[in-house]
Amino acid sequence: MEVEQIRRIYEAMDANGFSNIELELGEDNKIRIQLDVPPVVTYTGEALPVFADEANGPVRTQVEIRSDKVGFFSFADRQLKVGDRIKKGEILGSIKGISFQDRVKCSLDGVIASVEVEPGLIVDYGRLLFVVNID
Amino acid sequence: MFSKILIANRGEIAVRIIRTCRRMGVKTVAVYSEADQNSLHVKMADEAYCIGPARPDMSYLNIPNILSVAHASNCEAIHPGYGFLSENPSFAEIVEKCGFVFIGPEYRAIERMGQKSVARDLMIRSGVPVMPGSQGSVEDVNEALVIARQIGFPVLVKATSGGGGKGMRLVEREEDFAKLFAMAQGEAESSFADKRVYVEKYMRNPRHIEVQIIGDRHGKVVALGERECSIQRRHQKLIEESPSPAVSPELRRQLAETAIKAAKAINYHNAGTIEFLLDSDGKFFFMEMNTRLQVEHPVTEMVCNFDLVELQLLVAAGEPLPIEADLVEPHGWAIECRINAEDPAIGFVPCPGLIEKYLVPGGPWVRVDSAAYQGYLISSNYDSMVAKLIVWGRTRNEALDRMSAALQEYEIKGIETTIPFQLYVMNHPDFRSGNFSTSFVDKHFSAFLAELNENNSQEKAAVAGA
Repeated sequence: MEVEQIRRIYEAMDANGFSNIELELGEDNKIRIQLDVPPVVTYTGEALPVFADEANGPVRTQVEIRSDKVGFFSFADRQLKVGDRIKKGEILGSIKGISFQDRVKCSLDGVIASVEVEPGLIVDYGRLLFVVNID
Repeated sequence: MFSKILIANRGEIAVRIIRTCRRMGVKTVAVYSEADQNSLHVKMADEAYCIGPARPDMSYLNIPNILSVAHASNCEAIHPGYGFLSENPSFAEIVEKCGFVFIGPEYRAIERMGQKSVARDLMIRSGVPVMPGSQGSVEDVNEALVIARQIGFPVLVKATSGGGGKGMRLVEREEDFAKLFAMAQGEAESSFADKRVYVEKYMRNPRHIEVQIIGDRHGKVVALGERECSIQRRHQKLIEESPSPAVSPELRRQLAETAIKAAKAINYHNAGTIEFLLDSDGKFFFMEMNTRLQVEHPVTEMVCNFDLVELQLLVAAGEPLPIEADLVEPHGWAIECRINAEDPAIGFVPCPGLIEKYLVPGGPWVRVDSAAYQGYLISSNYDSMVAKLIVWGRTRNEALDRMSAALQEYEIKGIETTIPFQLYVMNHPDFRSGNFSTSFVDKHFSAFLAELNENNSQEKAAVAGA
C-alpha cells in the first residue's frame, strides 16, 4: 500500500469522524489506522458506525444516532419503536432549536434496536437518540 | 425578579452566580462542554445541558446552542459571567432580540467600549482624563510619528480592537518608531482582523487602579470604591486588593466622580469597571472600561458589603439600585489571590492536571471562590485558574497576615500552583509598605526564584540528614 493511499484514507477518516479503521488487504495482511482524536463519535444526526471488537475486524453491526444540536425533539411521519424497519436516508425525527430545525436521518438500512427519546423532550449535544441494527 | 436564568459560562464564575441565585430563589440552568460534564457548576445548577465538545468555539461560544437551551428550558435572562461571550456585543444584541434579558449592559455600550480608540475619544469628550495621544486611530506612520514627537517618547502603539497586550508595542526611541508601528499594525491585523492602531504616552511604573461601578435602568450610577491591581505579570493580575494603599479619601472621591461621569456618558447600566493608570503624583488617566463583572469583584464585595451578582440581577430586572450614596466607602481591607495551575518556578507555565488532594483554608473572614474539588481534572482547554482566595481584615496588615496564613493552609496536590509566589509577595517589605507599581513582579521575581531554590535545597538537606 502506498503512503499516498494511506494519507487519503486518513483524510477521509478525519473528514467523516472516524477515529480508527482496520483494512484487510489479503491473508495476514491487515492495516490499522488510528487518528489522534478522542474516541468519541461526532454527531450530525447521521448514523455513525459502531465497530465490533477489534479481534473480529471491522464488522459494522449497530449505529448510534446522537444529537449535535440542542432543542426539542419530535418524530417525523411515524413514532418509531423497537423492531421498526428504517430505510437509508429516512428522516426519523427533528430537533427544533431557537433558530433552526435539524432533521435526524439514518444513512443506512436497518432495524430500530432502541428508542432513547420521546416527543417534546429537550435533547442536548451528544444525547443518544436511537440505536439501529444495520443490515 | 427572574424565576430562572441561564449561565453562559463555566467553572468558578458559574458556581459564584449559582450561589447568589440559590439564595435569591432564582432557578439556574447550566451549560457545559463534553470536557466539563463532571464540573461543579453542572452539579450545582437546577438543570444542565451539554452544548458541544471541549473546544470553546464549539461550546461556550456556540451562540445558537446556548440560546436554544435558554429557549427550551424557559429561561428569562442570561448571565454571561466574564470571558467567553461576556464582552461580545453581537451576543448581547441577539440575546435581547430573542426576547431574553442580557444580565449586563446594553450591547451598544459594549461595542463602543470594546473599541479602544472610540472609547478614548468618548472619554475625552466627556471630560475624563486620558493619556496624551492621538485622536482616534492613525493609519499613516508619518502622521503617527508627528504625534509621538509631540507627546514625547516613550510611547505605546496600541491596537484599536486590542486586549491582553496583543497588537501593542512600546517605543522607547524615535529611530525604532516606524518598525514597531508596522509590527503593531501587523499583529493587530492578525489577532483582531483590524489593523487600526493609535498612539499614547507611555507611563513608567504606573499603578493599575480600577473603579467598580454599577448603574440601574433609571439613570442612577454608583461607584463601589476602587481596586488596586498592580501586582500583575504580563497584564495578568495575580493579586488584587480594595481599597488601594495609594488612594486617599480625596483621590477616591475624584476617581469615583470621574468613573460615574464616564458611565453616564454612555447611559451605562449594570456592572462595569473603569481602569485607570495612576502616576506617583496622584494623577490618573482613563485606560479602558470592562463592560462585565470582573474576576476580582469579591474584594469590592468584602469591603462594600454588597453582593455584586445580586445587584446585577436586580438592575437587569429593572429594579432601582438599593444604594443611596454615589460612592460606597470601603470598610476595612480585602485582598484576593488568584490561585492558578501554573508553575512559578518555570516562568508561570500552565500545568493543568488532576487535583489529587485538596484542602481549602478556613477561619474568620476567609472566602474561597472555586469550582475545584479533590479528584477534579483541570482541563487544558480552558484557563488555568483553580480558585480565588479572598480575605478581609480591619486594617491592611491584618488582611495581609490573614492571607499569608490562609495561603499556608491551602493544600493542593497533583498540580503546581502560584501559591509560593503569592506567599512571597504577602511577606515582601515593598508590598507590605504599600509602595509598589506594576513593575513589582519583574523587579522581585529573580529574588523569589533564588529563595525558592534555597528552600528546596534546605528541604533536601533536611531529608538527607534525617
